[in-house]
Amino acid sequence: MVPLSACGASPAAQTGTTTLRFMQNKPEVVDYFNQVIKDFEALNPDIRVVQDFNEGNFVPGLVRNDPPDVVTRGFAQATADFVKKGIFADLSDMPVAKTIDPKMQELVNSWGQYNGTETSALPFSLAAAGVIYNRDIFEAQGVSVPTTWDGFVAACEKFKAAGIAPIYGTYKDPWTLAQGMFDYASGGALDVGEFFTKLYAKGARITSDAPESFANSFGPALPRMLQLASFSQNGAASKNYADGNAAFAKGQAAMYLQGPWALSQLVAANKNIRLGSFPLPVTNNPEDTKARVNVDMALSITRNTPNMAAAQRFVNYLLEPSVVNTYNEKNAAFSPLKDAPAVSNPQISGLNAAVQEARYFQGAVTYFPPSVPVNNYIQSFVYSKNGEQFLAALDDEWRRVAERTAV
Amino acid sequence: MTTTSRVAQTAPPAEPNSPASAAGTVRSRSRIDPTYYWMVVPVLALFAFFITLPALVGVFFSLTNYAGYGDWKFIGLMNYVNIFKDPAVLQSYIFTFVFALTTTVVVNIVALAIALGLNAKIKWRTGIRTVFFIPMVLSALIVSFVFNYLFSNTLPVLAERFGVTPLATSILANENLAWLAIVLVTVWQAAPGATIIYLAGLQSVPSEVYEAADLDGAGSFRQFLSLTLPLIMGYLVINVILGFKGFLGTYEIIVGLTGGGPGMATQSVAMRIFSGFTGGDYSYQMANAVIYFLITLLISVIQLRLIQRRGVSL
Amino acid sequence: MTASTLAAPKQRTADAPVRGHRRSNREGFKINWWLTALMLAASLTVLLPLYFTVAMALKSPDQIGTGTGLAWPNPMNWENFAAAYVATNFPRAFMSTAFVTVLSVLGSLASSSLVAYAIARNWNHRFFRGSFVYLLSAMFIPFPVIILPLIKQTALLGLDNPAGVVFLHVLGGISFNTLLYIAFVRSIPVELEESARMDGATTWQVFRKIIFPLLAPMNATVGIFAFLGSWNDFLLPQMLIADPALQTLPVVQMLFQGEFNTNYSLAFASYLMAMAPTLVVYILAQRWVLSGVMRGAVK
Repeated sequence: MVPLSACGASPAAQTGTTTLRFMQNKPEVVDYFNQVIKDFEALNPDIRVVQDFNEGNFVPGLVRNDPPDVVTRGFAQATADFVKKGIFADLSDMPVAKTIDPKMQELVNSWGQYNGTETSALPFSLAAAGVIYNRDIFEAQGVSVPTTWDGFVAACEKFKAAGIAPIYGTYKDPWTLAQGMFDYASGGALDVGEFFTKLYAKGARITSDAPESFANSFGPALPRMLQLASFSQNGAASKNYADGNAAFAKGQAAMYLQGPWALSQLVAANKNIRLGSFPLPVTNNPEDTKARVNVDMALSITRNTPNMAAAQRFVNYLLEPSVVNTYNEKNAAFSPLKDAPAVSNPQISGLNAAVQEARYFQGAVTYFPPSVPVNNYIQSFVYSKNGEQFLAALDDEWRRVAERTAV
Repeated sequence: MTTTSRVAQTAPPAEPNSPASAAGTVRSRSRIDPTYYWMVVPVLALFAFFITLPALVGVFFSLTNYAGYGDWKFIGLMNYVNIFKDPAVLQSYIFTFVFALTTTVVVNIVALAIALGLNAKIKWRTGIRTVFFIPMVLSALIVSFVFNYLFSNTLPVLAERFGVTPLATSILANENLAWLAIVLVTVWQAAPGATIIYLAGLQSVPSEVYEAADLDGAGSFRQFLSLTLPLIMGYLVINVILGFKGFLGTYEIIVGLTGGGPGMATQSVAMRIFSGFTGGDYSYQMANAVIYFLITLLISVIQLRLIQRRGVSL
Repeated sequence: MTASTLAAPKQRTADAPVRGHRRSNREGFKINWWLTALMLAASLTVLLPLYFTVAMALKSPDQIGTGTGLAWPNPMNWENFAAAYVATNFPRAFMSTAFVTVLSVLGSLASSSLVAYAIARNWNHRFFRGSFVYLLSAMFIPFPVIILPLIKQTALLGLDNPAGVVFLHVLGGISFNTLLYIAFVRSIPVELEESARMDGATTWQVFRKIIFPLLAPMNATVGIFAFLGSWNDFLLPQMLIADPALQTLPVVQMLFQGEFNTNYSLAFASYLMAMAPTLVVYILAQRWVLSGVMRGAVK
């Protein structure tokens, strides 16, 4: 393992080397990228890449007009905001851009393109999330993967009757409720992307009784959410994500509403566990079943970087099939390339069909600006079960933020 | 400028507000040695440049919709108007106040108790004292991570084993009680600093006072109430003023313990203000910060006035 | 430990007699054992979390599991420290942090004592009194208000690095340190200076040769607080230092706090390694802290 000091220690000593700063904000893959960087530098001796995982330094970098050259972030509301303000350069002319699956590129572009047509970020890794299930428990109880909501409920009842917790809940960490129950229930019940596009289009001119309001659109999803909550184990309120990983890995529940990021944790806690995934069916029509996806990593180059050529070479390298496909395979994610090989990892292969057929949605919570603490609101709702209050609060908060951030 | 309660743990041994008691003022009023100016002015200039100037710029930005980057325009007092309409802001202030008040009271009681204990005739005094001051030297963020684990895992398991059911679910997950956990950890970290002040105060009381009281037959509790407490009142005041101000700005400890949850239950003002950096909400939260500054200033001034009126000598 | 035990009674009897029925130079006379037991029990509240941190640092991920977490790991995984050491590039981050902290302490000692001396000796002049109030006002300015403009300013001046952090630590601490020093300087009799001046010493010489040495106990106090504040600071370095290679320990340690997977064993190992210097410095210097504060108070 190469210490960071080897990269970019004394750029002055190497005449003619360009130093790139690469902001990569997932601490758990810092090690992996150190190796990727080493390989890149071996092939490009005139470029040094320094990895920076200190995300708190990104906005300060913008303020100082000295941001990192290449940035990868999960693509959601915050990143979309950066795009809107023209922070990132246009990558549409890069040859690699054509190798990206257009449906995945659309996931990025649907948030809004700068100047209408620019491509500000190229997806690097797509995470698909559904229900993680314990294959052994399913087989022992003779339950097959449900494809309808009724089938899902029946499976839960069966587990309950056998004394096994159907779902392991970790309410103490509100984000698990948000990306799990809330996103799955709402994503399956309405067209989330379309809803938010309309909401954003209204800007600050939102009124509380407009048709595009949470109260009007999300209502039907809430009962499903509460039902999911009812299938969680007792004491879910005091368990957090780490507890959930440890407990589910030890076989204390049949299903776990988590995404692929949890898989490595589960295996670390119990290397013999056999896991699988399936998208949560929220209706009784199997064709409606969708998986929640998010562009877990998207590559961008900051517009005013002085090292554009070097930055492009690095991005090109990262999107080479040998690099991007390997990363995704090793991290239980889906590659963005058009001709990516089919996913063979049994832990997530159950989601393959949904991803290939573009039956997916981006989670509703990812559309919220960070100043609306939607995760916390969701948590309050799960405890209080008061749906009206919850949706009214969302509407209120959204409107207030829209009013004060309208330019 | 502080963001944690660290400043609250340390305070001056004597309040230099009374020029009359200063033992060493220069005699001549007419000519001041220019050297003294040289000692002060460069620091003042740097201070003005690095502290006052950015503060003024920050206040200016609160009158705009600047996000830290990108385009922006001047919007006058709109941010301030919106703040007063925002129930989340009001709730965070109420929470922060109640929290700071409670923590100040508890810290002072605990610190005084420890100081009394350390001042008494106990064995291994120095060793015990060393141990008690350790929490003060640790980083607030790390302390909160450690306690997060203890509250979420260790305590519930222990509670189950001993059959104390109310504690069997993590206190941090309880909307109504999570704040008590934060108080506890803050006290853990802030008490040593306050204890130092109290120790200084206790040791400044001459023993003859207690000997006279003993001769008069006063019991120890009576001695404490009527003798010790009034004589260390100045130190108590210092601890309360600086402590309260420091706790109003609690940030790192809450980040590590609850992240503002569960629900909206433990969002402090500082947390809301910091959230502005990553949310493109920067200028709005700057207005919040300005209001916060004015409030803390006002409170401290009121506290000082109250003290002067009651004639407490510092 | 023995050194400070010997020092303690001397300090107590010299400065402030111990309260008790018998004035005595010796500890151990009429020891209050109940109180001692109580204090020992109370000190567990401090020792338990520390023990816990050490235990966690020595566990491997599968030893952590679900439990109280208080069990002492067997076998002990010393390699956690090695792994954390490498992952955070500990030596480099340590050097950055040490650089910032040492310079901040020295800068604070020098600047605050100077300013305090000038203000204390000229208290009846409006300029100096006003300067003091001006400096005090900074204690109320919330950090978020100044940080963003500060980032721009430091970048323009080439100070978006540990040196800039040093500047700001020193300036940020001036209000409080000056407060501490002024109280102490007042307790130094003016006569000392006057006799030196009559012998022809300039004010600078008076400060250097007479005042500063006398400030020794307060130097220790201010030094310790400056050290702690600087070493443990997270927010300022995170946002001010542009080059990730120059980051300080508190920031680099966030490497283990992933959003979805916190590596507890490595995290706790690195927390311990970062805590260690502060603990060592504290234990070595703690008697001065107390004596400095108390001497200033008593006089």
